[in-house]
Amino acid sequence: MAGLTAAVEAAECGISTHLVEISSSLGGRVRALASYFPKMCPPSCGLELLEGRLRRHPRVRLHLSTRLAGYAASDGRHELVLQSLAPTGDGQDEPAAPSAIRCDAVIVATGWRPYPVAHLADRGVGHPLCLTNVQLERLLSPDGPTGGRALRPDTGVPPRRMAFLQCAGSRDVNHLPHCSAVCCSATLKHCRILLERLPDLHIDVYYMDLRTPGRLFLLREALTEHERAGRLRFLPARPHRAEPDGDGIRLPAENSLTGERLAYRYDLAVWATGMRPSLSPHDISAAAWPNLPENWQGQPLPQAETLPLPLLLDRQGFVMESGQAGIFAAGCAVRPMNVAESVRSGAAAAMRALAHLHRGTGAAGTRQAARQEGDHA
Amino acid sequence: MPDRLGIFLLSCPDAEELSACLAARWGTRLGTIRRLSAPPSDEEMAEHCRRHGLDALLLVSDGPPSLPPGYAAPTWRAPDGTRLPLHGCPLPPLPTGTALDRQHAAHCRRSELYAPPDASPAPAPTLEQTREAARQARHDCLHMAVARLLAQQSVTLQSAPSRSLRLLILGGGWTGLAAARAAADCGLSVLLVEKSDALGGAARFLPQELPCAAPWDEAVPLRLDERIRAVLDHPSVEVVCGVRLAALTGQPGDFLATLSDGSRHACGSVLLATGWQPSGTPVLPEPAGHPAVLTAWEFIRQFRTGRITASHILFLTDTLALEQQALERATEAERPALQRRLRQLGASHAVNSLGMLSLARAVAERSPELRPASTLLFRHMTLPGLLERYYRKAQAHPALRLARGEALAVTTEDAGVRVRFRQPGLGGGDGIAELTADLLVLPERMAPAGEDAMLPLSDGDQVARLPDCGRFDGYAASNFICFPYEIRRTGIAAAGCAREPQPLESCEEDAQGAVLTLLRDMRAAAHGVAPHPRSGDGDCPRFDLARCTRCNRCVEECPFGALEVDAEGLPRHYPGRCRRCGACFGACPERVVSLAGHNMRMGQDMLDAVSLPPPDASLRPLALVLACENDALPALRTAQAGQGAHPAVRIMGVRCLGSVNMQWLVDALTGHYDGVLLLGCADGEDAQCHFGTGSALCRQRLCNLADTLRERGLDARRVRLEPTARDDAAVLPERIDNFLESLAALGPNPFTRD
Repeated sequence: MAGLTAAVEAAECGISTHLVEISSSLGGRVRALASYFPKMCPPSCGLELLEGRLRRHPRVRLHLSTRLAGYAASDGRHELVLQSLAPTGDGQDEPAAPSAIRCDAVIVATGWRPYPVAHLADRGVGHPLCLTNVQLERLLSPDGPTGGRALRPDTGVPPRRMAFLQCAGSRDVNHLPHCSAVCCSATLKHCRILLERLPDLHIDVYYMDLRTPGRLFLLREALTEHERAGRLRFLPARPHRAEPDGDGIRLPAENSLTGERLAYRYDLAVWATGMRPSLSPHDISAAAWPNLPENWQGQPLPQAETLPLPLLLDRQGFVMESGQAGIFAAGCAVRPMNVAESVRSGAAAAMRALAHLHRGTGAAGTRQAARQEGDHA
Repeated sequence: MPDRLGIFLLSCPDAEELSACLAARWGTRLGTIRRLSAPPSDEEMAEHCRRHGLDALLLVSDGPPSLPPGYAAPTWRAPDGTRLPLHGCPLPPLPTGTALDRQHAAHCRRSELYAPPDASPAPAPTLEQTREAARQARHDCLHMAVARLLAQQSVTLQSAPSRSLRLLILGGGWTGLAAARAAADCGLSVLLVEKSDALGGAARFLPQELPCAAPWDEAVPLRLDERIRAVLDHPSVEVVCGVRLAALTGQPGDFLATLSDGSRHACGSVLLATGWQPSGTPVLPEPAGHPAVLTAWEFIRQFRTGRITASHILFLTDTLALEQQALERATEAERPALQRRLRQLGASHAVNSLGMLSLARAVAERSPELRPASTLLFRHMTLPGLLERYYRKAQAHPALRLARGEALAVTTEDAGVRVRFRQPGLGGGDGIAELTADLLVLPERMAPAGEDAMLPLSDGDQVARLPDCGRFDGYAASNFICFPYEIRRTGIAAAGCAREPQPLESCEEDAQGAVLTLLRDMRAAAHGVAPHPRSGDGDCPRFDLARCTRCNRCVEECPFGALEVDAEGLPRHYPGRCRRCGACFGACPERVVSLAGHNMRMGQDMLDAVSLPPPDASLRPLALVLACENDALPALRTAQAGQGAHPAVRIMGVRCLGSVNMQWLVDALTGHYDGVLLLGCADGEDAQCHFGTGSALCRQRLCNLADTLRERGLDARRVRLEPTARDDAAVLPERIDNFLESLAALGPNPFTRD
């Protein structure tokens, strides 16, 4: 979303733009979402408009299924080597020849990945009645596997009692020390959708803080009716693990005031798995990271060569933008953020890139700063 | 209008049949028909038109996903004089658009299975007849597309006179300064207007260090003075303090701003960075005014001047439970205003969490002998994202006490304040506890500056009236998640706390994003094209004023304030403000308004291009579907993917339901269609319309149309508006079938019997 916005807005401001996307479609993770909070509107609608604007603009070159294979800085400009991953169509396994493009500014909008639930295996996340919030999002989407219905994966019937477990991985020094920023709002959105669609459903939300910055506060307001009707409870606890219990699961938790132990039973539990930057190392959890010195900042992580750019990353793999070299960052590559913030971040990064081009080309060149089309290597 | 048309048939299996049928229907106006297996490039199309003397080219593509012909794509390529209106179908989408589409297709009802319900007076059609009808529908689709293209008039670009690329920024606070810096760095000239005597806004009174930059774990100096200096010293920024905006006229690229000191300034766009004003807490009437109770804002000012002498300070960030009590006590009349204030306070929660935690830390970091004991009582600590790092460090601070709880009652005593609160526990095991302090600090409500200062001008001023403010509690927020700066006024954007209460680093980013949007708007206006969502469209409405009755419906209904009433009572159009939604065309009862690619003649030609089955045919009823091209038409395209056309409907894409002139509906119903189904974005409270009010306008016009239809002996139920979202593809076939069933129940259109 951040990259798409940056590309569209920059092009419409007169900048020749290349958009490089590793997958075969635009929209990133947003495309798989069921709806946006707090408006509950489908993502496909805004994507349709953005894609339309992008495709009919003559200044945009779109490189889908393309990987950034190489980078070199030369003479204040950037030379990028692009490697297409698309099949060449001639039946051969030979990859297409890489191509090179030269440009004056680069925006990194590589986004996020869900924190792997495998790292939470000791909490019983592998149980078939435990979903992640990303999986639930697909289930609630009209083009998801169930056509938008939330069903128990084992029996295929709608659940009667559901639990949401916030901060599954997030705000946890053994996993993701940061807060993933969107899971509270996403869970409140899920609660609203589910309680409206399933009249017999009861939901418990286990949480530490409900973080709904700005006007997302309205998400909570929208749920007060359900809370009053006793169909929704917010429980300030953090269950340690999910245990099988008959045809459901049990979530043992402790009352932090009294020390009393309780275990409610549910048909389905949803773990709000956190967000980590795509540029963080693939397969290891934060706990298993090399023991970096406390003052470690701004050195490329050893595993980060998946993106061959001179980036400064922080301990969790978020980009710390310097802007000096004409490399900018936007969206969840910078910090966890929701869709609206990503859009804003994408537009802002395009603005900074524009200023960089202006510095390089002088006053006359701002709106005409055309980038040179690359030769095929 | 194009005289000769070329057609490219892209991998159509029945190309021969289509060619024959097109040639038979359109005769000499068809120049060439070519069959292609791959999409042609722009250059190939231009060359083909040149060589064969064609005025226009229609691309017909088949195979999944099949595009409904007749979808006109606006183009960026008009001004250079080449007669190549590449309207008609856009190129078939690359695989990107289809990943979801194919999934949708699996849910789509197959059109071959369509059969009218038993209620239909005609016998059920045979499979042969259905197939024949589907083939006819497919041909009609093409004929409608050709008719649309042939009725397309040439576009004369009306670029707004681009007199100024200067950016007028209202508000010299953190957001305004960031915007001035960003714009000036891009070579734009900036006029920064601040109503008070000094720059800096609310940031002047904030703690001098806040966690507002990577790595987010420690407060960093704000360096406000450096920011102010950089703006003041910048050669392309002019700063005026102590004045306000008094009037704004004109359009993007050509605004004229009059300031309260009487000076007039040309500018190209306007940024509202008017920020917020401390508005106290909406509730807690009893302790307010008590010396031991301060709001966060009052506290900061006293703290920075060293006037705080309390020995125990209690910071309270969440007052929701208290507010709810107050709301329950309020009378019906008081309630709406109180609710609005409560929502403003709720929206300020993240800033309050961060601000009060920083303040509590600042207090705790005083030297031990001066240090008051400080406690922060909170229910939800709203520090999302990487600010968690700052929170974690604060938790470890030895002199700062953090308590979690929900305040239930605040009582003032002689020497201080007592707060009773509920500690949340699992399973109903809540605890009730009390805290006392000699000073209670309450959260601040960040109301948009001046409550109605979002509208710096009078209501009558079309260009400056931000129509949606009221829906967003006074904030200049956008109706859209994915387009945060679209506030239905071209060339005007809002950023920072005027848009939504947000912390400093967000304000800065917001300012940058808003400046980019304004640059885009100015650029589009200078080129004579529309910005979002019909970006690149140069097709402006034209007004045949000789026939205008001065009813001014178009002025009232334009969602973007692009029309004003001139001295003679006639509509005056500002092309720079216009988004080409066509609402003015839809509004006009006298056919005064037309667009090159959207006019009365075009609609009528498209309706006439269809070969209607005889009234007694077994495949009646036959419906016309008018689909909004933003959401409904793509949804239809998805639903149709790989299925072919529905045999009993004819689809016509429109810019927006607001652009549907009721005359088309009358023409369709008196011209042998059995009914008209309008598919467009949702209206009402959570409106989805990308032009803001299009669907609502259409619904209103339909109410008025009902009488006209009744006079002609037509049942108003023959017209239906169905809100349709982009992801409704799976349910669309059912909705269409439902409508056809209800038409069947109404019986044949009386006009078809004549």
